[in-house]
Amino acid sequence: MRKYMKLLEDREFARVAKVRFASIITFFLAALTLSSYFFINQGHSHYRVNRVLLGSLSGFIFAYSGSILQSSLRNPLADPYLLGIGGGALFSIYVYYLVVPAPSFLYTPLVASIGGLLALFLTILIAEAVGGSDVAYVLSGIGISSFFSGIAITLYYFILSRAPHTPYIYAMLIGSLVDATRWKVDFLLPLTLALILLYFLIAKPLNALIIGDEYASQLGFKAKYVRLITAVAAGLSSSIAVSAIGMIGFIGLVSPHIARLLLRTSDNRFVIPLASLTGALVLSLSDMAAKTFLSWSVGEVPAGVITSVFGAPLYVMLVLRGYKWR
Amino acid sequence: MEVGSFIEVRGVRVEYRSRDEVVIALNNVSLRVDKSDLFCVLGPNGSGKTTLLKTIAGLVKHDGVVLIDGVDALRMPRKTIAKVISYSSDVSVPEMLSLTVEEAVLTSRYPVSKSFLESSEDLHKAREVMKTLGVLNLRNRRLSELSAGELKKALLAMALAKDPKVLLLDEPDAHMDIKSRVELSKTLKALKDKVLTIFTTHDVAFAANTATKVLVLSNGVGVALGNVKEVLTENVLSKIYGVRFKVLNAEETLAPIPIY
Repeated sequence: MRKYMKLLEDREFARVAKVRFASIITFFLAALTLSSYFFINQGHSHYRVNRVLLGSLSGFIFAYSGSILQSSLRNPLADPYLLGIGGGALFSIYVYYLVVPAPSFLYTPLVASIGGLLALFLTILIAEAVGGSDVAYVLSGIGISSFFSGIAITLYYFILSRAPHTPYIYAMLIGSLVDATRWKVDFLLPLTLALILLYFLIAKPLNALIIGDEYASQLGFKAKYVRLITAVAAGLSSSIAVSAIGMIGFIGLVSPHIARLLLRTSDNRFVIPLASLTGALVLSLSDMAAKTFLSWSVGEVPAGVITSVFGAPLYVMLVLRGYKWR
Repeated sequence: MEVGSFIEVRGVRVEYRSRDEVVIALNNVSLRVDKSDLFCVLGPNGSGKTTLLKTIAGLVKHDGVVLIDGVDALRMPRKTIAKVISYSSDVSVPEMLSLTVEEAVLTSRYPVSKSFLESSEDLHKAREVMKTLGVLNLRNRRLSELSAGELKKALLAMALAKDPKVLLLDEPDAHMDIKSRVELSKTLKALKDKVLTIFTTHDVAFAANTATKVLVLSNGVGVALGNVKEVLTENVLSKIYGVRFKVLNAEETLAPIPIY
C-alpha cells in the first residue's frame, strides 16, 4: 500500500493513473448500460429503468459533444446549442409534426438529425465565408441558433392550436425525461458506443488543436478536417438526443469544465471520459430531483429546468474562480 | 543518405485571395538549404517570411516545387512530413482550455509515438528537451500563463520534442530578453549538425551572429541570398529596410545597427 502511495506521488504516474481510471470507468459504464439493455430486452421494458438510461445516455451525449466542441473551436463557451444544433433539431421536429398528418415518433431522430445538421452546416458555411476562425464559428452559431429556436417556438403555437393536448411537445422546449420510452434508448445506446470509439481517434488531434490550427497541421492532423469530424459527430448525436428528450441546457457547457477542474488538466484524453460521465450523472440526478422534491408541491417539473437553475450559477462560479488550480 | 540533408525551393509562388483582391505573398522564390547551413530569412513586415516557412512545411497552397532530399514534398505522405518537419510559430491559447507546458511538449510526440498514452520514452524525451532549453521549471505552468518570452522557449521545446530533421522557426527570438536571445543563438548553433534549421527574425544582429546563410525577402521576392558576411552589409541592409545602417565589429560579434 505504501509503495502504491509513493507511486502516486510521482506526477507522471499519477497522470497516467488518472486517465486509465477514467477510461476504465467509461468502459465499465458502457458495459453496464449494454448489459442492462440486454437485460430489459428480454422481458417487458421497465419505465424507470428506461428513464434512468435515457437520462444517462442523453447527459453523456450532451457532455461529450460539449467537450469536443470546446476543444475543436478553442472556445470554453461552446456547447451543442451554440452551433445551432439544438435549435435546428427542434425546428425540424416541429415542422415534421405540423406537416405530416400522422407523425411517427420513430422518425423523429432522423428528422432531428436533418434539422440539426442543416443548422450546423449553415453555421459552418457562414463561419467559413468570413474566414473560418473560432470566433467566426461562435458568432455565426449564435445567429443560426437564435433563428431556429425562434421559429421553433412560433411553430409550437401552431401545433398547440391544432392539437391542444400535446404536453410532450411543450416539454421538448425545456427538456424532459417524462416520455421515457424504449425506442429512445434503442437509438441512443449504439450512438453512445460509437462516440466512445470515436474518442480514441480524436482525443489526441483535439489536444493539438487547442494549441492552434497550424500547430495541429504540422503534427499531421489537418485542422479543418478534425473540426469537421467533431462538428458532425456532435451535431448528429446531440440532434438525436434532442429528439429523445428535448433541449436540455448547461449539461454540455458545464460538464467539461467540472471534469477539467477535477482532473486538473485540459488533456482531452482525460477530460472527455470524465465530462461524459459527469453529464450522465448530473442529468440523471437532476431528473431525480425534478420528480422527487418538486412533485410534492407543483407536480413534476422538467429536468431541463433543474439543470438550468443549478447549472447556470455553477457555471458562473467556475468562471469567477478563474480556474485557480495548480 | 540521411533524411533532411537538404531542402530545395524552386520558383515558389503563393497567392492569398481576399474578397476582391489577390495578394501575391511570394513570387518566384528559389533557394537551397543544406544541413550544414543555419539559414535565416530576413525582410520587413509583410515581405513573405512566414509564408515561405509555411510553404516549406506544406501548410499553404503554392505553385512551384518544394523538394525535401530531392523528393517533391507534395508526394510525401503527410504522416512522414509530420515526423520530419517541425514548424513553430506564435500561438495564443484560451486560458480555460490551456494545456501545461509539459503536456504541450508531449503533444509534439504524437507523430512519432504510436500509443494512445505517453510512453516513458516520450516523457523522457520531453523532459530532456525542456531541460536543455531551461523550461523544466515551467513544466506545470499553463501555456496561457507564460510571458511572451517564456512562451517562445516552450514553443521551441514543442518543436524539438519530436526529434525533427527539419526545424522551421518563425521569429524564435521575438519577445526574448537579451540573455535568452544569446542562449537561443547558442542552442541553434549547437543543433546545427543534427537538424536543418530555417528561421526568420527582425533582429539583424541576432541573424548576423547566428545564421551562416541569409535570404532577404522584399514584397515576396528574394532580393539577396548568400553568406552572412556578403549579404548583411551596410549597403544591402539600408536598401532592404530603408534606414541607414552601420556594421560594427565588437570582438567576434558582428553588430549591424540602424542609424536613428
